[in-house]
Amino acid sequence: MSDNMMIEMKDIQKHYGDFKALTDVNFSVKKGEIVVICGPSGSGKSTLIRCINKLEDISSGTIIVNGADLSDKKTDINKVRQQAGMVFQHFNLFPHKTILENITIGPIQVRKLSKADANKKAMELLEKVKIPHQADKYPGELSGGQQQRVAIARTLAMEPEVILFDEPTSALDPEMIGEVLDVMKSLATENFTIVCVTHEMGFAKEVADRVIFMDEGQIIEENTPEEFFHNPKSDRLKLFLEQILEH
Amino acid sequence: MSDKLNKYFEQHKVLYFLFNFVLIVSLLKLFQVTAYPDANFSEALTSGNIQFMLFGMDDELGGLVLTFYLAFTAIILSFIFGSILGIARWSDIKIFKIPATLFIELFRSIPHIMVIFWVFFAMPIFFAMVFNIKVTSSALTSAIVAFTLFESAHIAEIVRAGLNSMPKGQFEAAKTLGMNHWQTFTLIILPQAYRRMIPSLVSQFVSLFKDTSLVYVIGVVEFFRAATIINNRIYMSFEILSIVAIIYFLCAFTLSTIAGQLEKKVEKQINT
Repeated sequence: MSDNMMIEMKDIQKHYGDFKALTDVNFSVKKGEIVVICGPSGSGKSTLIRCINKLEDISSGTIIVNGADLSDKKTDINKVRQQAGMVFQHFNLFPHKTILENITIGPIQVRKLSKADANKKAMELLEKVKIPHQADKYPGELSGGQQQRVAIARTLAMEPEVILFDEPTSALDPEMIGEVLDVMKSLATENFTIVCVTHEMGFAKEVADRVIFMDEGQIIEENTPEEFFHNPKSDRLKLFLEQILEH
Repeated sequence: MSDKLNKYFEQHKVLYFLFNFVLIVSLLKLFQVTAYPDANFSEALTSGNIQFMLFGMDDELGGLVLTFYLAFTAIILSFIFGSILGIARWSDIKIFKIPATLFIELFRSIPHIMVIFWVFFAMPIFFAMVFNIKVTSSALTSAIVAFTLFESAHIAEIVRAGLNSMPKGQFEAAKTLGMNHWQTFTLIILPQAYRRMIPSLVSQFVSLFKDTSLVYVIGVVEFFRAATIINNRIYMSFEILSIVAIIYFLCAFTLSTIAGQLEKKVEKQINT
């Protein structure tokens, strides 16, 4: 395994009873690479990304995240999860904590930062996602787009090596998608490693190094954005692109 | 008009409370005047009677104060034990889950008054047989133990339901920050679950408060028993029982009003 690999997945199988969610998936991400995964719903893309931080267990295969083998019993999964931050479709902010506390709870409890340091860092991150004046509010008082930006700040506060986005804009009202995508694009220019499941093809074209198409639990095609969108090889991808680009 | 009134009462919560209270008491008074015009409250409410109903006898705590003491102690103890039992039953750890389930199902299925009797009569025998020590448990101690036993079972079910209502995403968000099970549970899950439980917990505590009148069966002279004793002496059932009803109502109503405020305060901390 080479040193510049962030994520390596080999021969992944994932079954729910008889249903095969993932079949023979081989997938890797280099450090600093931005990978977008797309595909029709139920194609296994969320399952794939959730296996990377072990929110889902795989049935067989190996996953290595930043040098740590997830199937190895000696691997501390909490350490791996600190390195692989995740942003969810439904934000999953902690509703009983203020915005500031949502961002500092990880650094204080897990990384053992002092409260003052954590607060300082959190305010910097809130500046970055452009909502510093909301620090003392509760998540329920914010709009969906603002909540998702807080969720991104919460993930960044853990200083992860790779950020996993699981359909970050799918639960948002159309007018709020732009503000979240802007934050994600700014991350893309800062050398973060990003794996993003999304239907936002504009985002994929603009920032992705590689786009992956999944269907029925398999990776059908992967390519650079130019080739992916202008020269699709498989029929299923052609059909998929026709369907989403019509709208 | 009603909008203005709503706004006014929202700003003056104490006035709103008093308004409700006066309204209900005057309705009761109206009922009394039409149903039983001969009622003579001043005769029933001598200072000696009032003192006995509120504080019991000089040498022994009783009356309303004892009701408060009993209810307050039972609420605290059953909240602690109920939480432990509820968490144990909710957990996947069989050595905690199975005994907790048995305890909860047992004490939810038998009459409260039976438990009170049982604790009062069986506890001394139990301690003598098992630990070979003689305990002379007072009626009051027995009452507290009995209430803690069955109320814990009810609270446990509320706690379990609250924990079950927590969305999966909260566990996942905590995990992806690298929190361990203990941190996830104590910092993220339990504080939110308790906020969701407030309405059910309060209604349980209000009914606990009212149920304390059951302990008269083992001779504890709490508020209701004290009132009954006076009634047996002066035979003024309507007057005495009306007063008892109003005072129970006042206490329970105050408790649920305070809880309502608390509920409002945490409302914005529950849902996103």
